[in-house]
Order: sequence, then structure tokens, then C-alpha cells
Amino acid sequence: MDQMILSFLIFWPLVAGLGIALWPVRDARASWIAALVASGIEAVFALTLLSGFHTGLGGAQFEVNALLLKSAGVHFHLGVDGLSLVLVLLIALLTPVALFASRDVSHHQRFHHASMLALAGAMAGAVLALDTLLFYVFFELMLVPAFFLVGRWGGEKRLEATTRFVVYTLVGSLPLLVALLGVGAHHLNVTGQWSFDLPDLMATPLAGNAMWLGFWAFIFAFAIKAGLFPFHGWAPDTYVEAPTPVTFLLSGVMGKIGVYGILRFALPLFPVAAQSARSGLMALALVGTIYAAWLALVQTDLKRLLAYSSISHMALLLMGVFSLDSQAWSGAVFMFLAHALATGGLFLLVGMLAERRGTSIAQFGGIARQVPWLTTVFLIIAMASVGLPGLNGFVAEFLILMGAFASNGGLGVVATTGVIWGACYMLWMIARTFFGSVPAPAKGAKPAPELRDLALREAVMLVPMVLVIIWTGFQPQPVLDRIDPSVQAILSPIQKAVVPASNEAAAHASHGG
Amino acid sequence: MSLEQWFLLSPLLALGLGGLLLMLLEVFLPEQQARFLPGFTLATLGVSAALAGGTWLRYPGGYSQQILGGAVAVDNFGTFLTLLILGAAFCSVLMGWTYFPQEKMEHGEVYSLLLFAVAGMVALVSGTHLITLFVAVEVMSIAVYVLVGARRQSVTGNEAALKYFFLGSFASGLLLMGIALIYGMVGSVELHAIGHFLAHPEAGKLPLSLVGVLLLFAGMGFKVAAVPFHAWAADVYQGAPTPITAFMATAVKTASFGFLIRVAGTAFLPAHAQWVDLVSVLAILTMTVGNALAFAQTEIKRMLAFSSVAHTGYLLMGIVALGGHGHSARAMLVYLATYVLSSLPLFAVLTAWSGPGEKRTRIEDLAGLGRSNPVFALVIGVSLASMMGLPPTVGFFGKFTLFSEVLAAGHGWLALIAILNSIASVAYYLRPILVMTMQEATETKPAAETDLPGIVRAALPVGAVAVALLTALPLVFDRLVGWAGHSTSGLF
Repeated sequence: MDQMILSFLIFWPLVAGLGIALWPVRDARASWIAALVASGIEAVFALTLLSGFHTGLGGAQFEVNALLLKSAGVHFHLGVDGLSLVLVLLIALLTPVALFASRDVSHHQRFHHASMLALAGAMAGAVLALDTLLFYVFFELMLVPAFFLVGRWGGEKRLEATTRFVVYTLVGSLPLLVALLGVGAHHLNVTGQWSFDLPDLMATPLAGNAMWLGFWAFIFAFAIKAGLFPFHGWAPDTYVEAPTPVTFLLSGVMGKIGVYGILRFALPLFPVAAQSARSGLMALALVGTIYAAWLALVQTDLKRLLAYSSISHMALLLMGVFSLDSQAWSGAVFMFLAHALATGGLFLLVGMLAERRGTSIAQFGGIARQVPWLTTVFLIIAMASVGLPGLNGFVAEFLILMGAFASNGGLGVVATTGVIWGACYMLWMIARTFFGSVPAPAKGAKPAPELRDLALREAVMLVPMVLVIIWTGFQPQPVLDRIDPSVQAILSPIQKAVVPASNEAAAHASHGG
Repeated sequence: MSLEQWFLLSPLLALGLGGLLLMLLEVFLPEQQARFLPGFTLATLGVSAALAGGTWLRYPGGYSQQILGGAVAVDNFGTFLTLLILGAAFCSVLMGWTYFPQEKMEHGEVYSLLLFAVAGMVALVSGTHLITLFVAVEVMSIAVYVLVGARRQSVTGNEAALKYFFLGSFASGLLLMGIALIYGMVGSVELHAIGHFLAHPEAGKLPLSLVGVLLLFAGMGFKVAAVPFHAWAADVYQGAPTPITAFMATAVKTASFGFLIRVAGTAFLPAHAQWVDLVSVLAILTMTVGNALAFAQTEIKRMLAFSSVAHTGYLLMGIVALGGHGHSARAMLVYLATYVLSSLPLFAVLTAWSGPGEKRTRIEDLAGLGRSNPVFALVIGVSLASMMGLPPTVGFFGKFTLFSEVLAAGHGWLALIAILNSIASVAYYLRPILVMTMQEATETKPAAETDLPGIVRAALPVGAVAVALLTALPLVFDRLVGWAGHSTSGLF
């Protein structure tokens, strides 16, 4: 069982998705229930994994390693540690929520549900793979269902959005492939054998120009996936045009796999480059945080505002990652959880508002009295997003900022102001949407009908998320206990890497441009 | 000639004999039994493949023997490519099973020319003698010129045949001129003798032998549609009957690259330093121009023509990397096999979808196909994904194998440019997928489709799954690389 569980987490949703896609029964509701059951089984397995996970160990657990392609040195190497555990749990537990929210897909229901399951399987594969090429395959595979989910069931401009999304992602991931091949070829030159297994590759680090080229290719690809400024161009359109449950999954989990790639592959494979480029990358992430927060401030559309808010938070998370500080890293991994619940939950809520009236802020105002429960939930989740103490967003942001201060005081100060901007746009949006006065109807038009409060089905999705937000806000330690050892295991070799004097110069030169 | 040598030559002989017999038999054939023709062709191809497979199995440890006075070598390299070519030809004939009679091109000569073309290809991948190779190129080419124009009523078909013929003859002239120059310098047309001659440090730098080498590359560059000899590709791919386009895109390309690998690897390798830059430039130009032109196309077959140009560019990198100590030739064989595998199902679907008279040809005509015919849409989508190199399709592993060899041979920049090209190619490969899955049909009344034989229809989804996942299976990928390695070890 221990040997099989990770493979099961990856392949069960893929197989179940295929089964649902090929299922001859045309009844939409039946396929929805089947998909829900399949994702529920996935969730049960993820929880089994959680209960079997040994707290306090830093290395990979439940490891499987078999030679997959002998001639290419590709291994079927899976393993789970604190970092991947958080993401796997998010994937397995948020997919049922997303599927639950997609009950009313208008057309091609089977294909929709199958794509969603396939997305979950591919994401689980990317997160659990410890062979670089195996990771790459799953990383690319995520794109296929996401492409269909945005392009077939999205909003009006879905074709543009999905094309942009795919082109951006591929532009990033193909240089990643070259860099991977380069790292593999270097391993071949040193040892005489092809291998793409992560531990093997870490044993033969690159140096000089090849190292820098490889490092930037890795960072570039993952920065695009994570939506880091200035490579975030695909994110707002995709998040706005995608159907709500899909945005929920893309912003909640998929974007984080880009960050995960940086944590797991880009920094450990190029520790020297990571050290030298640290300040530059932190500054870039900081610019992204504030820039996206400003853009969020001026949005008039709820969904677009949340898209920029998500980009801003991801950039803050990346700043923690680039600071190479263990506290910031724990905070960043904790923020995987916090941000997924906060952004995902807010997107779900905005989707509910969109079903009731629309997504433009100007259409709302003073609705708190009509929908008290919806307002309450929205407020809690939004407060978690801006980092109110007692909710889990605070823990994440606090740890990241502490790490940032330790790493670079000046940038830490600026980053703190970035968090303030986050509070500004969020609170202002809430004030305009839920409070204030009901907008006067245009001349001759009837006043907008009263809104309906949360239905039971909607509450079922949201309440568990709110509970987790509050619980991990007060009790972050159980989560951090599982994250910290893995962070140490990955980070300490990076911190110990010796930077040759000439590399510092190269790093500065590359920041200049 | 010993009995064993007859056996070794038998795949080639079977094809030639089959072609001749077919020509004779057609005269006596009653009109209503026309289905005899494709049946006999398939049988001939099958017999030849069985004989080639027998050779492969009989010499498991690798085999290389020169026969016919050193004009032909029967070795694993030739046999591997022979089997690939025969497979491609077999599938092309199957695609034409209903298409050929429907387009009124069900004549004995079409099938016998096809067999002759395949015979030329088999000779082309086994020849070790420039004169043999030239004859093989001509046998292949002349047959294909006629096949391209086999739809006699079609204006585009006639235009394509004429263009291909004129430009092809010119290229043959270049090729022959190159052979003559090389012979003039070396005094032999035998590949190993040329290799020995060029191995002399001064000989490789002699201007005349260099010109000879370049002319030979130019002549073959035309056959594989390398830039700047690519101008014919779009018109010919578009005008040719779709099964013949498939035949050209797969079999002709495989055979021509077989020739290039053998000649560049055996005869020209000692002078590698003299031509490597030129071929690198050729590769870069070919993939870049091919992709750029493909982007501008609205007709699907023209798009595929330029996509095929771009793939030629990727493969030419393998020729460049032959100078490294790695397994570039092996990687090229893997790439060719994956390319053939991804192309065949696509062309089979296009044959059926374009309908009688090939009325439907534009990319936008694909709109709504995802709903009206999901199997076709699946095949097109998977094949295009494989051509762009999306994992885990076979095309990804082909590119992966080839690009990593290019990198390992020390041509990092070349690999980088190839990757950038692969990125750019996504833009046009994605378009048909977008159109067919996300746009609603514009036709009010769907146009008629060409029927495919039941076996092809049954094979299509299997083919799509194979293209999508086959090489992700360790057994298959390692086998394929193993076979290709087996074919190229000790070749040079």
C-alpha cells in the first residue's frame, strides 16, 4: 500500500476521468455524481497519506524509484515531503469542491468533469515527481485539460484567453526543457550516463555561463506559471474568462506549482546562482507585489480585482522564496494553503454574486442587509487574504516578512507597505460592494431585484474552507511541523553553497539588464 | 552470388518483381476485378516486409555485408529504415483503398509506380556507392513525380506534378554534378573510399571536393525540402492526392534522410569541420523559414507541408551532430520513426475528411469537427500535439532524444534555436485544434466524406492512443531506442 499510494493519487483521477469521458450514459447529473465520487476517493487517499506521513522527517516519504526509460535515464521517482504534502492535499481536497461547484455546466458535462479530474491527476503528478523529466511531462500535461476548461466553458473572450494562456506557458516551458536537457547532458559528461533523477542531477551542479542560462530558463518557466510580474500577462484574462470553478483550481493550486518548481528544482539545482541572484529576484517579486496591488486598486470588475490580488499575493510568496530564509520558506509553503483557501474562496463567492447579478462593482452596493450570510463569509475570507491576525493569512505573511527582513532589511520594509496596499484594495472593494447605499436604478428601469442569500449547496462548499482558515489561523503549528523539516532539508544545502567571487559580478551584471 | 546474398536482396527484389508483375497482370484483368490491384500491392509490400523482418531476425548481432560488388550493403541500418518505409507505404495504400477509385486514379500504373518508388527507397537506404544511390534517387523520384499528378483532371494536381518534376530534375542535376566532382577528386564512388580520401588533412580542404560535397547536400536538400530548396513543398503537398502526400511526408522523407545519414556519416564525416557550419546554417534556416511560412497558411495541407519543412530542419541538426561521439544517428532514426507514426493517422483522417474531389481543405472548415466526429478530432489533435512535441506524445520523445543528442554533441545554440522554433510552431499547430474543438460548424449541410476501409477506421483511435502514449511506456521507448541503436552501431 505504501508503495502504491502516490501512484494511485496520480493515476486514479486520470483513469477515472477517462472512464467518465468514455461513459456511454449521457445523463449529465449521473456523470457529475460519478466525478464527485471519483474525486472523493482521491480525497480519502490524500487524507490517508496525511495520516501516514511522519512528522519531523525532512526527506521524501512513500518513495518509489524505478528506472522508466533506460536509454534516456528517466526514472519513475515519486516521493512526498512537507512541501508536496501541502500541495497534494490542496489538489485532492479542492478538486471535489470545484466539481461540486460545476453542477450546472451548460454543455458537454462529461468532458468537463473528465477534464477537471485529469487536471487534478496531472497536478498531483507534477507535485509528486522527483525525476525532473517526469515532472516536466506532468507539468506540461496540466496544460491540456486547462486549455479545454478555459476555452470551452469560459466567458465571452475565452478563445483569446485560452490561446494566450497556452502560448505563455509553452514559451516558458520549452526553454525549461532545453535547460533540463542541458543539465542532463552535463550529468552525462561527468558520469558517462544519462539521468534526469533529481538527486543525481543535484550531485553534478553546473557552473559558469551554463549555470546562469539554466537557472534563468528554470526561473523563467516557473515565473510564468506562477504569474510573477512581468510574466503575468496571461493570468488576469484567464482568471476572468475561465468559469468560476476552473479559476478556483487554476489560481488556487496550479499557479502554486510554478512556485513549487522553483523550490524543488530551480533553486536546489543551481544553488550558487540562487545565492547570487537573491536580491535581484526579491526586488523583482516586490515590484510585482506592489504593482499588482495598485492595479487591483483601480479595477471595477470583481473578478479582475481578485485576479490582480492573486497575482500580488503570489509575488509576495515568491519574495519569501527568493529570500532563501528558512522562516520565509515555511511561510511561503504555509501560504500555499492560506492563499489557496482565500483566493479560491473569494473566487467562488464572486462566482455566486455573478450568478445572482454580475461581476461589476458598480452593480452592487448595500447588499449586506440582503445577504448577511454571504457577506459574513466573504468578510472572513477577505480578512484572511489581507492577513488579519487569527486567520491563516496572517501566519503566512508574518513569516514571509520576518524572513524578508532577516535577508534584506530594506526590501522587508517596502514589502510591508505592499501588504498595506493589499488591505486597501480589499477593504475598499468590500465597502463599495456590500455596504454603502443601494445604487439608484437608471431612469425608467426597475430597481434590481433582491439578492438571495447562500443556499445550502453553496454553504456546504464554503463552511469547511472557513473552518480551516480559522483553525489553521489559531493553530498553525501542526501544519508548520510538517513543513519545517523539509524546508530545512532543501534549504540548508542551498545556503551552504559557496559563491565564487566572479559569480557575484555576473549576478550584478545580469540584474543591470 | 550466393544463396544468402539472394536472400539479403530479396526485399528489394520482391518489390521490383511485384511492380513488374502488376503492370503485366493489369492488362489481363477484367474490369470488375479492379480491387485486385491494391490487394496485390499490399501483398507485395507485406512479403517484402516479411523478408526484411527475416533478415533482421536472422542476424540479431548486427550485420553488415556488401553485395553486388560493393554497390549495396545490407545492414541493420538499411533494414530498419526499409521496414519503416514499407510500413508507411502500406498505410498509404490503405488510405487510398477507397480514395483511389473514387478519384478515378485506380490504374495499374499507379500501384506499380508506388512499388517502384518503394524499391527505389529501399535501394536508397542500402546503397554504399554513389552511382547506385543516384539511380535509387531517380527511381524513387520519377515514380513520385507521376504519382503526384495521378489525379489527371485536377488542375492543382497537374501543376504540382509539373513543378515537382522541373525542380526535381534540376536538383538531380546538382546531385549528379556533385557526384562527378567527387569522383574526379577521389577516383572512386564508393563511400568508404571517399571517406579515406577526405580523412587526409589536406584533402578535405580542396575546393573541388568541398564543392562536390556541397552540391550533393544541395541535391538531397531538395528531396527533403530543406530551405532554400523548399519552394516546391507547399504546392506539391497540396496538389498531390492526400494518400500520396502522406507517402511523401513519411516514406520519401525517411528514405532521403537514410541516404543523408549514411553518406554524411561514412563518406563525409572526416571532413566534418569543413561542412558543419554550412549544414548548421541550413538547419537553422530550414526550421525557421518552415515554421514562419506554416504560420501564414490557411490550407491544412500547405500548413503541413511547411511543418514538414520545419521537421527537416530539426533532423538536419542530427546530421550536424554526427561529428560528436554520441548517438546522433540513433536519435535521428528515433525521430523519423516518431514523425512517421504521428503523420500517418493525421493524413488518414485528412483523406477521409476532405471528401470527394478534396473539397474541404481549409483549416476553418474543421469548425465543429469535435462535435460531429470526435474520433477524427481526437486523431488530428493528438497528431498535431505530437508534432509540436507536447509530452507525453511520441513526438515529445522524438524531439527529446534528438535535441539531447545535439546538446550532448556540443551544439547548445543549435538546440536552443530548435526549441525556440518548437515554441513558435505551437502557434500554428494549435489553430486547427482550436477551430475544431471550440468553434461551431459553419456548414449548414455537412459535406460528404470519403469512406475509409473498416480496418483503417478501427485503427484510427488505436493510432491516436499510440501516438499519445506509446513511447511513455518504458518497454516501447527503450525497445525503439534499442532497435535504432542496434541499427546504427558500427555503421560508420
